[in-house]
Amino acid sequence: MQQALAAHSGERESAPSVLIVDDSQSEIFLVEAILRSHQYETHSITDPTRVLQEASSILPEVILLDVSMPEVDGFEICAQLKADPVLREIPVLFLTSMDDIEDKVKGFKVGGSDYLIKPVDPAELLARVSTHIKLRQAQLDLASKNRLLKEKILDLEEIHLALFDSEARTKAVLDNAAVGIAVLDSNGIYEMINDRWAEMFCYTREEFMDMHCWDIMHPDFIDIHKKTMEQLRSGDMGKTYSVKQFRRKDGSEFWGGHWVSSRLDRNDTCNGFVCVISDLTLQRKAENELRLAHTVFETSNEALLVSDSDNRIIMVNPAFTRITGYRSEQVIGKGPAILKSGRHDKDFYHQMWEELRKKDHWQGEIWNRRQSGEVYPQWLSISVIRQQNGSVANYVTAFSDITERKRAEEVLRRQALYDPLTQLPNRILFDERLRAALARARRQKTIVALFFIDLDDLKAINDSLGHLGGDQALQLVADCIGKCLRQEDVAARLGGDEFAVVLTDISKVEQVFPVVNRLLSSLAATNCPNSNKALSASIGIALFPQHGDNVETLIRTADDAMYTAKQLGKKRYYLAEGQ
Amino acid sequence: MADNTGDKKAELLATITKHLVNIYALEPEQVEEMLHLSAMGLAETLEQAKHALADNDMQVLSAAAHKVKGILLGVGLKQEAEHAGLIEASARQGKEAAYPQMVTQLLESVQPLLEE
Repeated sequence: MQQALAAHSGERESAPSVLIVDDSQSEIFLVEAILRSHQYETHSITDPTRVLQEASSILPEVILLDVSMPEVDGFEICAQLKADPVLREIPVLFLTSMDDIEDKVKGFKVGGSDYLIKPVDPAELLARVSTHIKLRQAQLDLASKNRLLKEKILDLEEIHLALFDSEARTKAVLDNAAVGIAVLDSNGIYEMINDRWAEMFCYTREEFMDMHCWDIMHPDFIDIHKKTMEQLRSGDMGKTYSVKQFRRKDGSEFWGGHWVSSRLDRNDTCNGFVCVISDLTLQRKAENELRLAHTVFETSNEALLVSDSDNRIIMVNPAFTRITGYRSEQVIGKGPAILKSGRHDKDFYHQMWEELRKKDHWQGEIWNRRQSGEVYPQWLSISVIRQQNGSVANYVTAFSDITERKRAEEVLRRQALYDPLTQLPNRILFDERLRAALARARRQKTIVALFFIDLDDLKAINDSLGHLGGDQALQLVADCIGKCLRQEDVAARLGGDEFAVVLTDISKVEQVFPVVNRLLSSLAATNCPNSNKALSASIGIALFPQHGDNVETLIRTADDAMYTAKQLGKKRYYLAEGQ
Repeated sequence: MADNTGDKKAELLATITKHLVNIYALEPEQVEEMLHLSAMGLAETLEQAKHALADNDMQVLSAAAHKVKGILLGVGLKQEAEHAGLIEASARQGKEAAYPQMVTQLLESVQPLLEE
């Protein structure tokens, strides 16, 4: 018994405690004497109504409970103890002098653990108390182990769940990856592929399981890939990237970026490979397009200027430098306004931006200034590049120097509208100017005078001086006319020896006569080339609105007046009559 | 009579002491304490038994006899305990018996202990 208690005590630091409940002090004394002599700690009460309170306070290892007590019997006390969540596990041993089997059954039914018949036998008491303490301890140990086991199971369940989640996540990542991913064994045979891999090569997952990784490669790349695998297998290389040509099931080929890395086991030994392939078809196409765009940008004869949403220049091409004289580093970060010539007013730019805002495009002729200060004409177009949300991303401006074109146009214009001999406007331009003069006079209520001038005796001049002399005579007439007119007046050669003059902004008819007299005098003071004979002309005058309110009527009237002047003896003017 | 009583008491105490030492290995002072507690318990319980007799309360009489039986068994007085057990069983079963005489006889049998 001592050994049992010692062994029991060895498992705990304090002496095991026993609560004795009996209404007889002498019986308590005997039980306590036995237990204390074997190093048990005892507590006793004679009032059965205090059992729960006392037990809760000391939490004994065993309760020895007398069955027959006044007021409340041991069975009821035991039932109360077993109903208490804290005390229910404490073994209850009944002390009784009863040996009735029914009472024993009743005791076990209410949760009693054992019986001791009074008067208690010391050896039996010690043995039963020790046994139940050990049992209790074993139960506690078991409960503790059970708790630990449950915790372990919970941990394992959590690990399992985490693993499951992790696997699910991994699968989700693999199946939604934009690149093809494959896991291979050490011989390069497929173990696993993702959806993208199958889709990329047009094989099914099942077909891949019987294939080697090089079965999808262009033959030119197989040997080098096998060498790479050997290096990865031996540990000479951890991972590698290269661009290779791959072959689909239907034989079509594409370029792909190929990552290969070794898969390591616990001992860091390569036991397989992980391959990642990205289809570079679109990338290559984009690169080619970009290269092409870059080439176009760099080699274009048109100046190209790209600015950001704040219209700050971010790039220009060599043609820009060639045309403007500005190098890219001189203009990047600045606004295109540095190119302004000052020739256009605010309204011009306002309209340009308004159209850009509405149509995302503007094109037109504009005058800008080179770095040298030279102002020159450009044909310029601006396009707005917008983001997906509609905001402005960039402005792309293209322009060309149209100085030469303008010059050629001017030559053509002069050829079309001016008389090459006298440099005076021809009939076409004259007609246009006369119409404009009439329109203005109509608005301003002023008078327009039309002179129809015919050189006298041109045939005689040609005959005596030749056509060259005739031409020189016509040039002299043109000079005379030019000298006699104001800046705003118009002179023209209508053909042969016919000239015309338009005087504008006349308020009174009297203003016409000094001019025509000055012209006749000037001609009279000018000799024919290589001759002493003076030049002369007959001049017919028609007035707007007096002699007609349209071009045709006025010209006809002036022409008629000129003939009248001829008939009257030449070297004179004649003002049309009437109206 | 006095000598006879004294012998009887000595014999009873010797029986009890021998029982307590042999069975429970009590030290002399523990024996003294046990005698004192048992005497007090017996006196108190026998008094309850007398009141029960007076009240003709067989249930209380049976319980008192049961307790007396336990005390007596504790001190090794088996014959006296059997006497108490007889009262307990008869009273519990509601048997007709000469309970006053039986209680008096029990009281007399343990009188030497009560004098301790």
